[in-house]
Amino acid sequence: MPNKEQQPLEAFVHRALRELPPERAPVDLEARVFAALAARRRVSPWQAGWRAWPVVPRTAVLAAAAATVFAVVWLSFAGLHAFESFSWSAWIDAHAPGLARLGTVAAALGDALALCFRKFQPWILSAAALAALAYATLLSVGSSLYRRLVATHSTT
Amino acid sequence: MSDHAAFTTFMRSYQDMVYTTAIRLLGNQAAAEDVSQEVFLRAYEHFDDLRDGTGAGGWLKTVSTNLSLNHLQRYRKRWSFFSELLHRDDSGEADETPIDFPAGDDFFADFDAADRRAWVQQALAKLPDKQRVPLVLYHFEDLSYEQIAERLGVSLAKVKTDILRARQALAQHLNRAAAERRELTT
Repeated sequence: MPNKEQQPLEAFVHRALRELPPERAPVDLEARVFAALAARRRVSPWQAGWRAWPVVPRTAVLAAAAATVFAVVWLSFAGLHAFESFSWSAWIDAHAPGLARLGTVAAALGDALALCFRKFQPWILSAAALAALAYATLLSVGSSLYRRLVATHSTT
Repeated sequence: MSDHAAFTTFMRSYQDMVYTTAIRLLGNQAAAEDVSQEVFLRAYEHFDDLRDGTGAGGWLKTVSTNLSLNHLQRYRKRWSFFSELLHRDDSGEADETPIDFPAGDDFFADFDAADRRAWVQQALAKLPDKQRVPLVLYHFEDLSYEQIAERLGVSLAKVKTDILRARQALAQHLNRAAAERRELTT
């Protein structure tokens, strides 16, 4: 339909719609809003989500998270190196002579574990990454299915 | 004036506008009430900036519109826009059959204003979301076709088609209502 032919229809509809008065808001809207505000005040900041937390705890959590990430990275490199180079048998001989025999076994076990970890480190990291990926995938698929099947039906 | 009293006054000034915006877009009273409540909860968080009244109306209108569109999207009503991208509706070709609509100032002059408004409201409520939402955005929110297409994430052709069909449906409804009234009175 050419634009020129649409203009009277557009003008007619525009006039008809613009003639509508504003709808009256429900009388209980005000009460609902204040009730919701009161309910929000009753909820502690911890339950309201991280973005609603006060600045100090929020910063502290951010700092703790950063420190944790740093510690994990440090342990992965420097910690592993220290673990490998540390002489467990000498330490046990010096500090717990009574446990020397047990220490020897523990040191051997520790050495074996370190060796295993070093040898299979790429596999272990890959498995952890795979587990994280599977978890994220399951979570997203599950929430999508929930929205699609359950939440939609409950609203219709 | 206390914060509570000031916010009460603020709400009373704008609640009809907020609710009107929501219900025209959503076409559902319960959903419009939920959206209006959420709008004022957000307004309360920004009340220090809004309490002087400058720009408050525009802010509330924008938030009402956005939350209403988000609400439609959340409940997948708006997804019908996307699903229809595959259908022939998106060809951009509207129904070319000339529509007989009540033109001229005389049409409305024959009827009571309350009746006319009731017919328009009924016709608006009967429109499907895919037609009512762009129609409301165009005629009430004064958005251009391009802006509506961008907001809804659909093609410009589809917006034009849906708005045209909505106008046609509205005009036909008004025609029928007027004809029925004339029959009753004669």
